[in-house]
Amino acid sequence: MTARPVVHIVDDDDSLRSAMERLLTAAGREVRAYASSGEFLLDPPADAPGCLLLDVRLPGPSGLDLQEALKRHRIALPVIFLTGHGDLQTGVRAMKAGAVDFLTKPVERDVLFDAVDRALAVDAARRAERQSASDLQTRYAQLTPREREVFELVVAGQLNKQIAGQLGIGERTVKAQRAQVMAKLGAATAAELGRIAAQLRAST
Amino acid sequence: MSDVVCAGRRLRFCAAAIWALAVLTVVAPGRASEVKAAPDTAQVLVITGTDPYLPAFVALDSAMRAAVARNYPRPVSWLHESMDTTRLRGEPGPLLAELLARKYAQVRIDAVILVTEPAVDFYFRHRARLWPEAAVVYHSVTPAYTHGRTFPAGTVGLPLAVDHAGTLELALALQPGARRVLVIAGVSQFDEQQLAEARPALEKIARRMPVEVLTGLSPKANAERLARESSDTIALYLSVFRDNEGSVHTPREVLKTLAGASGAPLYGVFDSYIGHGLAAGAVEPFSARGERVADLLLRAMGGEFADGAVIDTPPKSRCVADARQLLRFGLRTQRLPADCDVRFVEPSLLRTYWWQMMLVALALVGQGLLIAALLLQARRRRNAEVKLQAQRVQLLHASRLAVAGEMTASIAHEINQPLGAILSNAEAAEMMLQAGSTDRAGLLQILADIRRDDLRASEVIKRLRALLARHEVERRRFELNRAVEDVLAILRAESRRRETPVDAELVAERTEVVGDPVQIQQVIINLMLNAFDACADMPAEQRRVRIATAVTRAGVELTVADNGRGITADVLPRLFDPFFSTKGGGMGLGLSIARSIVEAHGGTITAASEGQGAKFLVVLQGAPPESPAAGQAIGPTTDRS
Repeated sequence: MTARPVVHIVDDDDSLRSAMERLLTAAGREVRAYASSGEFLLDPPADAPGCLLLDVRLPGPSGLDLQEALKRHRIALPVIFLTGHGDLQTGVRAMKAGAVDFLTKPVERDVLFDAVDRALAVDAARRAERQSASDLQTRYAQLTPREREVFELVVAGQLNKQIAGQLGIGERTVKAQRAQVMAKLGAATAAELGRIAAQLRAST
Repeated sequence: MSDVVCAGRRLRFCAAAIWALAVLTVVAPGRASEVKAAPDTAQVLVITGTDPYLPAFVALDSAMRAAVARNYPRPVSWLHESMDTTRLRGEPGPLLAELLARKYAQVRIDAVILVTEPAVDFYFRHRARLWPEAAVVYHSVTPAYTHGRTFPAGTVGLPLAVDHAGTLELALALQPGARRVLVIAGVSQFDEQQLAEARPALEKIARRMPVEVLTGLSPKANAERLARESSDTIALYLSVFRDNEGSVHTPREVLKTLAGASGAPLYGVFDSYIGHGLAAGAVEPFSARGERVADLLLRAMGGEFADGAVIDTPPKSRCVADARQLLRFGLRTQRLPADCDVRFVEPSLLRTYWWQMMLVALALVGQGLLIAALLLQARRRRNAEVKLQAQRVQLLHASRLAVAGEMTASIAHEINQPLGAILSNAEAAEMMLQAGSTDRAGLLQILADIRRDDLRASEVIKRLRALLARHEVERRRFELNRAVEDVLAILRAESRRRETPVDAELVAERTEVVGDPVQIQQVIINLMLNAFDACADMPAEQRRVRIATAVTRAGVELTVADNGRGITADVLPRLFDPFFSTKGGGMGLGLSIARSIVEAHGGTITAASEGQGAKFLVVLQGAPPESPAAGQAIGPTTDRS
C-alpha cells in the first residue's frame, strides 16, 4: 500500500488557505499549503498520490502558469482551480489545460470534498495505470531477444507455423517460446497479449 | 436851488424834491447822452406814484417789458421816475415837473406810463410843461377814480380790478359752513368808494346769511371784534385809511393788525394785501396786467387813441391765496379753484430742491432696480449653479458606479475571499465538533479567524459604500496620502486581476488638502484604471504603475505614471475633453471628470508622455495652516490624538 494522498493548496490569501487546510484536515486529509506558485515549485512533492487546489489569481506566476509548469516538470497532480469570481474565460482555459474542476469561492464543503475526492480518484487511476505500465515494462525486459521476436509476430497475428518459417526455427520451438512469453508477461490468451502490446507501445 | 421855496406845511415834500433833484442832477448827463446815441430807439418813461419796488409793480414791470420786447419791432429804452408818495406825502407840484422837464430836455419821450393816482394827477396837471406829444398809458388806479373824471385825448387807462363778488365766492368755497359775513371798512373817501363798489356783491350774499359792516372802527376795536369771531365768519377787509376817530392808517398795516388777532379768515380784493394777513382773494394778477399795459402802450404809440380818451376794462380777477393763513384756519387748499395761485406754501424739501430730489429719487429708483435686477440675476445664477452642481454630483456618482462596474470582478474577489475563508472555517469547526474534537485552542483560533475575515469583508464593503454612496459634496481637510491608501486598498484586487503591480511612493510629510475626499479618490481611481488600461497591451512582467505624492512649493502633488504605450502628441491636447477616448469601450469621461473635479478644488491636472509611458500630475493647494478655531470646526480629519 502506497502513502496517503496529499492535498496541496496554493493560495496567497492566508486566511482562506488556512481555513481550507483546517477543513480538509478535519475531513481526514493530508494537507500541504503554499502561499505562491513559487513556494510550491521550490518544494515540489515527490511522486506521491495527491491533488492540487490552485487559486487562479496569484501574485507572480498565476495558477494557470503553474499548471503549465507542472506539465513541464512531469508532475502529474490533478488540478482543481479556485477563483474568487467565476469568470468563464479563465474557467475554459483551465479546463482545456486539463483541470479536473473549477470552483468558485466561497466553496461549500461538500462541493470541495467531492472535487477533492474526484481529483484523488483521477490521480489514483492514473497512478494505477502508470504502475501497470511500468510492471509490464519490467516483465518485457525479462524476455530474451528471440522471445521478443516471437511476441511481436504473435501480436502481429501470425500463426505458429508462419513464425517458425520466418524465424527459421521449428514449430515446436515457437510453441515453447510463445508459452514462455505469455508466462513472463502474465497473459492467458493471445488477445491479452495484444492488449499488453498496445499498453507497452503507449508507455514507450 | 436857491429858488426853491419851502413853506412850513410842505416841508416834507420840499425835502423830497431837494433829494430827488440832487440825485437826478448827478445822473442826468450820462443818461441823456446814452439815449441820444440811439435815434431809432423808442423812449418810454414810467412814472410810478408809489414805491416802484413794491413786488406787485416789479412783477408788472417785468411782464410788461417782456411783452413789449416780444411784440414791438424797435428797441425800447425804459426810463423810470418814482414819486414814492407812499413815503413822501404831499403834492410834488410844479417843482418836480420843472425838474423832469430839465432832466429830459435833450430826450425825445415817445410815451409815458403813469402808475397809480398820484402819478396820473401829477402828469396831467403838468402835461403841457412836460411831453404833450407823448402817448399816455395810465394804470392801477381804482375804478372809482376814473368815474366822473375826464381824461385828455390820446390817453388810455387801465383801472384796477376789484372783484368783491369773486372774493366772496372764494370765501364760501373755503368756508362752506360760514354763517355770517363781517365787512371791515374805513371812512376816508377811498374807503367809502371801496364799500360802494362792494355793495352789489354784499347785497347778493345777504340773501343767504347776515352781513354786518363795521365802518370806521379803530384798528384796535376791529381787532377786538374779530378776535371773538370763529371760522363760521367770513371777514371781508376792504380798506381802512381813516377811522371814526380821525386817525389815518395804511390799510395794509391795519390788515396786519387785524389778521394777527382775528378768529376768522380775512378776505380782500387787492393783490397787495396778499401776504399780509389775507387768507384768499379774487385779485388781479400783476403779470397779466403788465401784458395788458404793454398792449395798450403799443397801441397808444401807434396813435390808436389819439382822437379820444379810452378807459379799458381790467383783466379778469384771479384767485390768490396765502397758504399760511389757510393752514392757520384749517381751510383746505383743495376747495380752491384748480388754477388758484397759492402763495407762501411752506417750502417743502420737494418744492425747494425738486430737481435735486428728483435726481436722488431717480438714483434711488435706479439703484433699487439695479439691485433687484442683480438679486434676480444672482438668484437665477445660484439656481442654475445649484442645478449644475446637482447634475455634476449625479454625473460623478454615475461615473463612480461605472468604475465600480468595471471592477466588479476584483471587488467580488475581494469579498469572496474572506467569505470563503469564513465558510470553510465554520465547516471545519463543525466537523471537528461532530468528530468529538477536544482541540479547544484550535476551535478558538477558528472563531478568531472567522471574526477577522468577517471584519475584512465588511471593510471592503464599507470602503466601496463610501465611494459609491450618493453623498453631499463635502469640504474638509483630509490627508491626500490617506485618500491614496484607501484607493490602493480598493484597487488591490483589480491590480492583481490585471496583473499590473502598483508601486506607491507616498511622501512622509503631511499632505493635507481641503475638499471632498471621495471626489479626490474618484480622480485617483480614474487615473489608476487609466494607467492599468495603458499597460494592458504590455507583457505582464513589464507592466508597472507608479503612484506618488509630494509636497512642493506649488502645493500637494499626486503623480500617477505607467509604462504603457504612452500618449501620442496629437492626442495629448484633447486628452481631458469630454467624450474623447482612445479606448475601444471608453466613454471618454474619466479624465474629463477628473479634470472638472480637480479644477473645482482649485487645482490643476496635466498629462505628459515621453516616448513610453504616461504621467499624470495633479497639483492641489495645500490646506492653509490651521488656526485653532478652524481645527475645532473641522475636527476629526486632523489626527492630533
